[in-house]
Amino acid sequence: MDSKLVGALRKLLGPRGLIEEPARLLPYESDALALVHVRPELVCLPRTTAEVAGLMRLLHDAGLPVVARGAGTGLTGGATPVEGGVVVSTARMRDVLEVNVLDRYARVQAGVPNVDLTSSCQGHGLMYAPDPSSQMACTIGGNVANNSGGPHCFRYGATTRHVLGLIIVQHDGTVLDLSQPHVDPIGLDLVGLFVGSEGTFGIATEVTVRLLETPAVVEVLLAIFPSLDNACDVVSEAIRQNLEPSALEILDRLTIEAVESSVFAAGYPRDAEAVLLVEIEGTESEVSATAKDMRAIIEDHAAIEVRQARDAEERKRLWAGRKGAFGAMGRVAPDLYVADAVVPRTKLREVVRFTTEVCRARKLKLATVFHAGDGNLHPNICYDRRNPEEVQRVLEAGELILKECLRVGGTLTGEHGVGLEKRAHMHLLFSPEDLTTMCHVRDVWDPARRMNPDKLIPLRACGELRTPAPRSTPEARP
Amino acid sequence: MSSSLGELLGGIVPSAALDRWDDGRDLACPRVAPETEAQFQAVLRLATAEKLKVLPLGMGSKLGWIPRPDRVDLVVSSLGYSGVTSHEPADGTVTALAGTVMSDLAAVVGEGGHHLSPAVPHGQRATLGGVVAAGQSGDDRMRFGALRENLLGTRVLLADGTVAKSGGQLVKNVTGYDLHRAYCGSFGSLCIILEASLRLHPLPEEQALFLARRDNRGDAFDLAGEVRNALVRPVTLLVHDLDSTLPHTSWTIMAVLAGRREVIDAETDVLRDLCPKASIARGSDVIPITKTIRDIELSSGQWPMLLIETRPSDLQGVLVALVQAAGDCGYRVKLLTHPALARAVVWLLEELDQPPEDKARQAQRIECLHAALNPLPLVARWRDLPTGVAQGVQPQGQYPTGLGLMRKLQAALDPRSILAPRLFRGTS
Repeated sequence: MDSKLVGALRKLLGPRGLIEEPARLLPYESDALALVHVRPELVCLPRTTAEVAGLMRLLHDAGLPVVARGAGTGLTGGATPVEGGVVVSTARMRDVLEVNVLDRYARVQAGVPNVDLTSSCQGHGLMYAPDPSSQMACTIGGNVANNSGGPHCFRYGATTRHVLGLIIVQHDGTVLDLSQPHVDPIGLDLVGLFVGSEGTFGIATEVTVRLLETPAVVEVLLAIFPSLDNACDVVSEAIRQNLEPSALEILDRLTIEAVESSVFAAGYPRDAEAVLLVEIEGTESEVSATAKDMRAIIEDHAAIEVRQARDAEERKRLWAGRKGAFGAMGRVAPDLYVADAVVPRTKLREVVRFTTEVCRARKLKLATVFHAGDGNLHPNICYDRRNPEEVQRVLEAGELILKECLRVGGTLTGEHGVGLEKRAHMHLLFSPEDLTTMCHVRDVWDPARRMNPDKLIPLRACGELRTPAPRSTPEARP
Repeated sequence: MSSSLGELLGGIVPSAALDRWDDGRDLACPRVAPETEAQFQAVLRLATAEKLKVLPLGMGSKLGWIPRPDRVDLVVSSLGYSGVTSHEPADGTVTALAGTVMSDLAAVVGEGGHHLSPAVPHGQRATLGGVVAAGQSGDDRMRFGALRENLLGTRVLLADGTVAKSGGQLVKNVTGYDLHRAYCGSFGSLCIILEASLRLHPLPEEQALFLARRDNRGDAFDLAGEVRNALVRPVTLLVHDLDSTLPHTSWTIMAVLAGRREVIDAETDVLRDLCPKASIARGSDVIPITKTIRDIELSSGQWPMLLIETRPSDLQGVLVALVQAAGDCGYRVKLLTHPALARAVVWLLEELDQPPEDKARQAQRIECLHAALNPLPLVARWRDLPTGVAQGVQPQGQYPTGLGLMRKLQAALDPRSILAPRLFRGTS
């Protein structure tokens, strides 16, 4: 690394704003896609938009690739560094800049954890709706990059629905201030285009988000079933009947066992084959009517029992169990392959059965947790990465599950993004013309293709020169 | 050119004047209505080869929302390309071709038990492609969100004849770039919309219409605020003075409720307690009234129309300043306001005892008003600006931040500048 560049970065960011020592670079070698790791040359930790702009100008002049990083909770390698590149972390950009109660928006720096934004609004009777399971750690900037979802996006929509404005630092350090919360975009919807671009268009440094009123009444039901089929059918029927709960989440037996054995224990019955967590929010009359109809459907589908959370504390505990599910799986196996696919809600039962059979045939432990209301599945396959043969079976199962989801009319990813993991699958869903058009748009934002290169779009679609292979990739492993 | 188009399409629609831009010149221009994707592609390739400027068109109801293009050589209509291609009631989605009329589409999804958002004014005069190209949200956006939030994906035709898609037909999907977010509201400057997929919402079991009147604007907005803060979730909340006849003013507060019967029962009880003298209609009485309001909102008459957007905290102050500024420029105004969205539709009325204005004088008054509104914290979007209005008055409001990037996107997707529409004056 050019010592002049390092000196200039150190001067700009201060001693705490730059990491160069190999030992300290280690945590930045991957995100939550543990199979792939690449050591970055440097990690920059700016504190402000101006510092981001300054460092991006320097890196632009040096021609270095850049990977932005929030909390590194992404599951598809979106924040995995590239060989010879620099990571720009928003970890020191954690200020909630403004909470405007009357106009119902907040402005935050990109590194603000999702849960902190919600906490900062609660006292005003407002909330920020998108609630990924990793919300204790994941950042708003990362949520923007991935268009993150969460259980409540069934009712409220994913991140893109709640982003009113952005400040973006582009590849060359240009600051694009789109932060004013207009009712509708003036001209093209650049903000909507940017959300979900996985760090390939630029770095969002500030985000203006929509705040919603905290619902007057909240009810949580826990329905217990003798089979996953029953739980899936309830969800399909609820959608068919046009019911509008806020969240519909399913956990299977293995997940329940893991959760109940962990610090996230929520009181789920260990002998249940599946539980369905239903949250209903709104006015008293809405909640009452919807709860009544949900109970009727649940009871029609062989539920063993339906429990209602008695108070806010119990609601919180039930949700903590759901949101802690991935973490709890650490008790079951050292590693977890978290698949993410979306299918039409009418196909839930069929696809869940398929994933179960695929894993059974390959002697893999499968723990299924999903945002059933959106048709967004997370079949989580337990494995040990130190066992290459098992890794191979896992990857094979993942591939089959993905292809089955596409076969029934689904898509590649509902909320985790494409990143590295699904880049090679994009051609299954998009034609060469589709991908070329995406490349054209990407090139407008980043003509030199230095922003998170090798992510999202297959290399051959953009015809870009292949960067040196990272130390470890799914393709490289046997 | 005509013979080439005739060969391609087996006949073309005869020349038709683009009377939307009435400046006295006859804009006779061939218009074609392809019926297949292949025909659309062939037309665009011909246009590229012959360096034509192409105007994509649905029913033309929103032509006045953008500046008039400098040149149009060929109109490509979507009206021959219509129909529902996929309707999944059990999954709450619909996909249709661009020329599908919105009222027809609403009827189809209604049969499946869903409400189509956006509920646009004059649905029988709007196509899906036109609505998406214009980024037109409905008066139901308070409950169901803006169009761009319900748009799941598109299939589009680029200027070189390439067909490309983004998004999909699922309610949750983060695969690839959301290019449809850029296409939505691009008015045909980036591509021609061929097909769009929308998220649907449950059709309400019942509707109710709350109507109350107040003598002054302040009291009307206060009541609207109370309605909003009550335990109800309106689909629409409006405050308007369209029924005012001078010298008296009369303000109407209107809320449309929709949902389960027991929910509507409870919400109407709340509103009755809040405002005992209000009228509350239920069921079939509601639809004609809401349809009328909806159709009034964007009816274009002889008066230019203004759409104001601001923040909720600034709305009342902006409206006071707007009325004052309009008066200073010689206009009376009538307002249709969405207080929760901080948005107002403004009719600028000439004084009744004045002779009709010539266009030059009209243009002058609009520029006067535009200048007066400039310092205010609002975005002012103009509809159907008369010709002769200065370049500084942008139909879309103002030059946006990121205009340079927008132009690059336009150039990337239409490098030969085949597509005629431009979003901003002075950017051809």
